[in-house]
Amino acid sequence: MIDSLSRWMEERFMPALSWIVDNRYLRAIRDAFITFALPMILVGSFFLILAFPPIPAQANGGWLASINNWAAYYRPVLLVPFQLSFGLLSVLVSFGVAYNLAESYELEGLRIGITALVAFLIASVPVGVPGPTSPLPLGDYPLSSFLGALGGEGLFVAIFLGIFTAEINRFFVKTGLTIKLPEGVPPKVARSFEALLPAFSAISLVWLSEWYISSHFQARVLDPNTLTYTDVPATWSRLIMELLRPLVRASNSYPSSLLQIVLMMVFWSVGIHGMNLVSAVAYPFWTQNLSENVLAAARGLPLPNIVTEPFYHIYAHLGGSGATLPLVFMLLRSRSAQLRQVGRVALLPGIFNINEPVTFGVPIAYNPIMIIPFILAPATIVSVNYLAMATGWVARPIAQIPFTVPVIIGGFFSNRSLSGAFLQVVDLAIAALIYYPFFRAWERRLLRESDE
Amino acid sequence: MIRIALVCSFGMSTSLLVQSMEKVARQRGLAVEIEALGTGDVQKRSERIDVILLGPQVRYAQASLRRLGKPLAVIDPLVYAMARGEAALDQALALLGGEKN
Repeated sequence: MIDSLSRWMEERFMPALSWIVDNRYLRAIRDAFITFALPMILVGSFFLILAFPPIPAQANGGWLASINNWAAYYRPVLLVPFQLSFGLLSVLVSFGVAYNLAESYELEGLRIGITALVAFLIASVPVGVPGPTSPLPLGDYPLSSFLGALGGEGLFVAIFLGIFTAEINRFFVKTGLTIKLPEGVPPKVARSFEALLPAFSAISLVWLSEWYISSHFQARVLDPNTLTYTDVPATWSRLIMELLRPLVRASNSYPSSLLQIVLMMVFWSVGIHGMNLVSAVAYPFWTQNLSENVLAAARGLPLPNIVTEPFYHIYAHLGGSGATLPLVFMLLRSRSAQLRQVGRVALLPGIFNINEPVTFGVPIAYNPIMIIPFILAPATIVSVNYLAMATGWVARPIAQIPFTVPVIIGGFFSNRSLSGAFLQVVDLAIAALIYYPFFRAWERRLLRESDE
Repeated sequence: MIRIALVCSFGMSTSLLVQSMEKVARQRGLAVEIEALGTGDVQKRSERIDVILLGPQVRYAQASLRRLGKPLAVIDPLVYAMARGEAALDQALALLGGEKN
């Protein structure tokens, strides 16, 4: 049966998957996050941890409290590298999406990426809001009123404008609509003029539509100082955010978190990188949710969201996708020489949350016995973690750290609380309990086969 | 000089196998350059690659990477899991040999 399943997978399912992965829009978005935004997300998160040191607020007296006081006093300073790295996430994404998509069309990624970045900046500020004598100039708005739109709030507009800018360039190339210069103009000079028209069109369209939107519509936003909702002139960012808010809210729900982990593990069960596939769609939502947490923390509010990148990479995939770290220790002490061998190879990578040796060595993929705990353990862990974070027993994720940070250290830094490290210990115990009987059954099977 | 690319999601889990392959190549006195790449990086580097080996977990990328016109194969899951450099190196060399004949 498993053979026919595997044949069906390779012949029918794999082409469908490669369509998802090959889809140039999804790939442009995913690569924009991974290659353009991720380094700055990680650097920004480091400064975020500095600004909000993982020390309980109730630490009274002593050097712990003085670190807390120091960080609280200098927080506006400590936050600057964060605000202008992770905080400018959407600026990076707008560039990255346009760059990747343009390159996939074999157009000039750099030029088109820069155009998209400028278009995105225009879509983030109110344009032409009526003032007492003439429309308000840009300088009348405080910088802080833009920062949100350049970070998480502007994410979907950034993605959209990245695609839009690349497509408009492709349209001009395809239709041959360019400024024709007379013969004899050096080709390099002619090319620089040809590039101007699509850039001019993209920026004009965004600018004019932004002008219309800002001068005709209002959007409801949370005022960070008074914590009340106020109506402000709309921008592309604010409009799209309002439109997509229900979807972002839904992404943060328990059913959504469970669906995501089950999908990841079902893909891995047939030996396909599930995190990779699911994150192709989920990454913008995770990042959006995490940005909201960071903003809330900066304002001293409770963190609103749970389903973020660290929720999976740090708190669910302990030792790698499938929470296989406890299994590695069982392998090391197995009676089967084959499994012991796998355990030895898997131990060091496992400590850094890489577990392909386990998935393909035990093997778990295509192995009906091991697939059960491989899906069940992470699904249980996600349920427990969601409950623990929803009820407030465990602090919610705030910092996105590299997924290779070992268990316990990672849990501690991701939510800057010992509760995160403790949660990982509980999760490890859950995974150990769920894996153990299946590990024994598989071990018996291997031993019997080697006897025969 | 034979340039081999080992591809996985981020180029992290394949880097284990790269080490082991490099060791085997040194023992055999072969001039090879082996690089661990993420699926997103292959296209940009394709000019500096002679042969591509894919980790089994990203074998769905086979179709798109085949368009680069390089000899390409998926690594056997067990070879991948146990980082058996010898088998993987032989696979890469066989792919290239197949092309020359």
